[in-house]
Amino acid sequence: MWQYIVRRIFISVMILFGISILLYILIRSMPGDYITMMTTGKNNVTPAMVEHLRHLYGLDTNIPQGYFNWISRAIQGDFGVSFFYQRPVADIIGEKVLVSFTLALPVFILTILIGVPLGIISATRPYSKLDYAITTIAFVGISVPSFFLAVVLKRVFAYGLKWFPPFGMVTATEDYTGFALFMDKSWHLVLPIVCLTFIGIGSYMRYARSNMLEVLDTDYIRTARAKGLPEGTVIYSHAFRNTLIPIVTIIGGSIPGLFAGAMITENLFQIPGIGWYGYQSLTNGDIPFVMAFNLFVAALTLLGNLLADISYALVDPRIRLK
Amino acid sequence: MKTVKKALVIVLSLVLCFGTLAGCATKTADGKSTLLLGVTEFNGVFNFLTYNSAYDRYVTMLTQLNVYNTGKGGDCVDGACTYQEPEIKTDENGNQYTVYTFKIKDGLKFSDGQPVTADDLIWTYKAQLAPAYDGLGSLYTYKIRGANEYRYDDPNYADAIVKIKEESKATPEQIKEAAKDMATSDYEDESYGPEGLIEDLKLNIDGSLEAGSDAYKEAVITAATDAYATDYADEFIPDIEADNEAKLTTEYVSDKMAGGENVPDVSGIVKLDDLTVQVTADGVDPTLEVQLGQMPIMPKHYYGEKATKVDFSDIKKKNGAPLGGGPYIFDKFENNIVTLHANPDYYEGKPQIETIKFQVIPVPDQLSAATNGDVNIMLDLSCTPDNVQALEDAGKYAETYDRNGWGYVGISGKLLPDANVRKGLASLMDRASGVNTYYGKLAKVLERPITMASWGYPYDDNAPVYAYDTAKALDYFKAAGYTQTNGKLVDKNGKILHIDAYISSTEHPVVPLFTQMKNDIEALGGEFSVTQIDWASFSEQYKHGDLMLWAAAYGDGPADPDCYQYFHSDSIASGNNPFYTNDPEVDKLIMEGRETADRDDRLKIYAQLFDKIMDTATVMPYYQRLEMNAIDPTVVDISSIPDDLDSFHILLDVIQNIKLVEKQ
Amino acid sequence: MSEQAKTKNGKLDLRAIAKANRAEIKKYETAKKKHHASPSEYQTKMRDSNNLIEFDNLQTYFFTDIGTVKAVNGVSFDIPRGSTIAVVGESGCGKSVTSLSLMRLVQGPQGQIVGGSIRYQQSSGGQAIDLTKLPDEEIRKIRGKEIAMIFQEPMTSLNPVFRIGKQLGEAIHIHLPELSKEEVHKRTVALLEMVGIARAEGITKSYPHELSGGMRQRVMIAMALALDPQLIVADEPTTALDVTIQAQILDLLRELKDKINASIMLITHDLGVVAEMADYVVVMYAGRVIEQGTAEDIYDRPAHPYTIGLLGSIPVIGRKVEELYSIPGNVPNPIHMPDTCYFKERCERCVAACDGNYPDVVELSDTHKVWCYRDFSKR
Repeated sequence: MWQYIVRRIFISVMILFGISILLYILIRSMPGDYITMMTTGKNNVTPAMVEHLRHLYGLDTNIPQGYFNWISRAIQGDFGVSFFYQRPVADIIGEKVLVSFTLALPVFILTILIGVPLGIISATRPYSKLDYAITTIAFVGISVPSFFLAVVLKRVFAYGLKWFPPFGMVTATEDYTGFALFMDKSWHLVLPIVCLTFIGIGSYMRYARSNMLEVLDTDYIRTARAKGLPEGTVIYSHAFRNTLIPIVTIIGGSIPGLFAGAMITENLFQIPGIGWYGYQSLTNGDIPFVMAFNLFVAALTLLGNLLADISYALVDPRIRLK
Repeated sequence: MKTVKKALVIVLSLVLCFGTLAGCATKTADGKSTLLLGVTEFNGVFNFLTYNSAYDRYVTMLTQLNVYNTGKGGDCVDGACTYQEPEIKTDENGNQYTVYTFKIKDGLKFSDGQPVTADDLIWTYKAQLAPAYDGLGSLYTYKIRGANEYRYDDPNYADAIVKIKEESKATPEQIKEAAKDMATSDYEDESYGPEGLIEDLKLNIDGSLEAGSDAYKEAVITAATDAYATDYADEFIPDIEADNEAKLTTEYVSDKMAGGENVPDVSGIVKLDDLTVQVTADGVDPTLEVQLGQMPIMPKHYYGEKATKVDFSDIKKKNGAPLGGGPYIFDKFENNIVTLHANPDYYEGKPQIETIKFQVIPVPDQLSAATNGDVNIMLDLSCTPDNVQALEDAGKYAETYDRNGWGYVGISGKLLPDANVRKGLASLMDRASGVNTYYGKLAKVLERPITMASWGYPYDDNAPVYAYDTAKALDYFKAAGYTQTNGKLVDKNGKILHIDAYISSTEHPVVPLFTQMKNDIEALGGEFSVTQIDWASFSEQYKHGDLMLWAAAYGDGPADPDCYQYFHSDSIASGNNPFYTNDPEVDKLIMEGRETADRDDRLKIYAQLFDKIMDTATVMPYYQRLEMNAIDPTVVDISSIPDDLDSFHILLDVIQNIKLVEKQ
Repeated sequence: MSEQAKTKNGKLDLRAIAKANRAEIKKYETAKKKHHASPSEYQTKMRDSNNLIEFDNLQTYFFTDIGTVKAVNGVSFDIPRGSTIAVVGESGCGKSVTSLSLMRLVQGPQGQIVGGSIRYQQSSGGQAIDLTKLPDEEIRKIRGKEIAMIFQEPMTSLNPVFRIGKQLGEAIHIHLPELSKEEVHKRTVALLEMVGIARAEGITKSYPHELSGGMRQRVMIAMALALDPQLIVADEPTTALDVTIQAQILDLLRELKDKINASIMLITHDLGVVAEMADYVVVMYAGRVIEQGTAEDIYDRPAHPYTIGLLGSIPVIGRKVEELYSIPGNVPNPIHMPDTCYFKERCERCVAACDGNYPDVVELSDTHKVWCYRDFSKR
């Protein structure tokens, strides 16, 4: 197993290299760069100034040279300073990712705790009224766009019933600290968590349901019943254990996604997470930020795949990783 | 099964309880007066030398002491220094130069207790002249004596520049190269092609060559290249030389920035005594006073600790913690909220409001935040009729003023070289309807290419030049050689009048205008296409002058009416004059306007200048709109707000004098 | 019986079908879920006290979207104590469903036992019970302990994520909770040895995918034997195995049959297997029994044309033929069963009477019964 992991990590590093090259070429090839966009339409900007600025920001190099500059520093751990925010990129990403994680973790836990059991329950009663109700809710959740749901939640619960604040992480007019601050933040996060959870439940639920239905149809479940096992054991021990296999791999694979942020929801609720900043950096042509952030996401994705594969091997004795 | 259900119910109810209970947190604020303002975004760069967003600037300026404060109309008034007029002198060779003297008031301190001295002011000037400076200011483009020597760290800068100019002369090879590029692109241009080349340049092509073959193409291009290189060399030379110069300058600059420091000071910036600084600049430039005056005195002991002229990283490290002598002290920027506290040692006395907070509010929520009273002041709320009505209904006060900016439609002098065509297009714009549709009473139709917020706007001389008149437009097109044949508007070659119009994604007000233009042109028999492109692509094309007809807006410029950057023919090469306004009369008036500091004289010059620019029909001013801050009169004492606020002398400039309503 | 009522314009009225299905299914599902049913509801008396099982006009239907499939449509036969019954027939004739009905493993909610009874004499003595009327709670106590089943596909019949030892031990533990873990383990190992698995100790720690098909089937057999059941139902236990293994498994079954005291219900379509092992043979076709008797009856004196055809289809080694014989035609559509003898279309010995109703039983001897209109007096 360890050999496998080491090999995978090695391959992942190679892939990341390739991705970084591709990313750099893409962003340098995009029309307009940071300097052009910042200075267009502004008076007082002379061409000498523009040239000078481009030199300061390293945008006067050709693509291979620029990439070499970037990679030689990145390898040493220096991902540069964001053009737009004027702070080391690593610092910004670290801060914001933490915020996104704070939002994503409860969502993650809730979607699994709600979605999987619902899926299993509806599989044990297929085509009943309960099953249809659950499935409908799941489909609504998957289909509704996050911005629409966010706006609806805001209108109903924030502006309408005034139970929750419509945006922000904390109440601006107060200066809470310690536990009170924690409660204030939690109160502010309820609506975004509800929004994201509702959207996420659907897929886990459907996945659990279809896997469970498949498993319940198998011969070994029939054998379990034939042995005289109580129905509860049949479902929650024999069937569940098998249903779990693909679900665990999905869970393992989605853990890295917890750090990547939810762009639209964070923006609508003004949660200063990484999603919105990642998007902004692209439209601004903020090269250091784009490189660091996208590589971060790429690394997370590769890590997610690896985790999924490892989880698979751990829960399914038929799989042996070589 | 049952146990699972039970567990689910418990978990869900826990989540709900937790959520609602969290709202019952206890307050720990000490009840002192707090003012909460809403803004659209913060980048967190709270530093005058490095900021790139207006909102960051708002926060930063609250912590700073300015040399001169900004008064109504953008004029300089007393600040940390008592206002003194600049002196214009003449040297022994008959050349004029200007001397600015800044005397800092006695007893001023930064919020950490250190005194404000001339050294701090000199340091702040030098920082903006340093090669590592990458902010949005342009102090180093002015003719401050010794600035270039300091910037390029070369006491022999003047000689070096002469040398560069010599070396950037266009070589014959470069001319030929440029001529060849031009010839090739003309050959491939479908509307021009080899026929156009042969005819216009009177080329002699071997008749035996088959049209369209490779040999033919080579022959045509070679001949055209020669013709261009000899007869049209002058067209290419300025561009080539500008390129060469830019390249050489960049090399020179990067060379210089690599070494140690040879020139530590700027000869034109002199310390007269502990509290007095004198700046000398060649020539007369009325805009320099604002650059030198309306800026903060930054503490050298704080920002200048480790920074050098080539390394600003230490300065940037302090982006998140501004320090100055201003009315407020920066506390923190957390969770998208900035907190500042009143500075008890502020030289004009401690501000009335103890705590000021800025909160980032997403645009769709800004109106509700204002009407619900969730913020006390909403800055830069979108000024539309609906919003104004909503504020009125909610009993909130809308502070409006002319925005420092103006919307326009650009008509390219390069892609539409015939002035009659441009004038025809200018006569097809029903700007009044467009403005009314989008802004209602909250914007005016603009008649001159300058914002009405500037003192240079010719209030006495702004009659419309091109009224909306389709018959007149047709006359102009006919004067340009177009005829209406078979329902189509065609030129003498049979080509239909085709206009490509562009909107950058944010300019919505132009949509009704372009729709109306499209209908009108098509009714006359021409073609009009509208394309919406994203800002990045738009910037590129704007810079290269590739837009034929476009809508955009300028904003947040200085109050000075000088428009060298936009309309002078020299600015074409740099991409700042995408209108391709290339008129010697215009150029002359622009330079005249810069040569005197007398305001009355300048007003007369600019009135003439704007008329002339309108004559060229390369730009059609479109709208002048209002800006708005929404203020909650139940929290803010409206009577404490001065009535001379405008887009330069803003609410935040006087915030230390604003009072809150007394709580009963 | 006919499905005409459920057609609309000649095409199937799917909504009417679905509606009718829902009503029927609901009836049976609720009956199954009854808790605390009083024993009188399912207690009964055996017709013959020598029988372990008596199938009496069993009807098991599947309520599908396109109509009702009468998979088992009036099946009656007995399984005497200590004997081996072979149930033979083509695929789809209902033999598996019969055995699943016995174990009440018919896949609900589509499949339901709608009529008839299966009387069973419990091992503890006392009253016989009707397995079709037993509530779910009760049937669990019987499954695995008194009646055990061996399935057709050893490759998929074991749970891939549990070890062999656990799967075997589980069965023992659920029915004998008083045993300690070591005792369960000892029993498991003994069972595995009994079915001829070498290294039984090591196998208990293995996963099913580490075993071959033959070994897995042995494990299934061990599971079936774990609690000394009275009846072992073997549903085509060798069909999925290759021929050599097949022989081994059959040998094993035969060996065990002599050792244990259980009846065996062997379901198969392989007549060769039947000959070696069965005491009695029941021939099924399209959901009904068409002939039953002792092995001798069936092999020496086959009566029903179908049985004759089946026996004729067995290829004989050494005999040269131009073409292997097979019964012409196909099994009728299970949804629209005609009112007449089901075999009529394919029968080579049809007589005029075959056009009438379904034939009644003809008792050719004490043990030999057939359902056919042929004239058997001439045999």
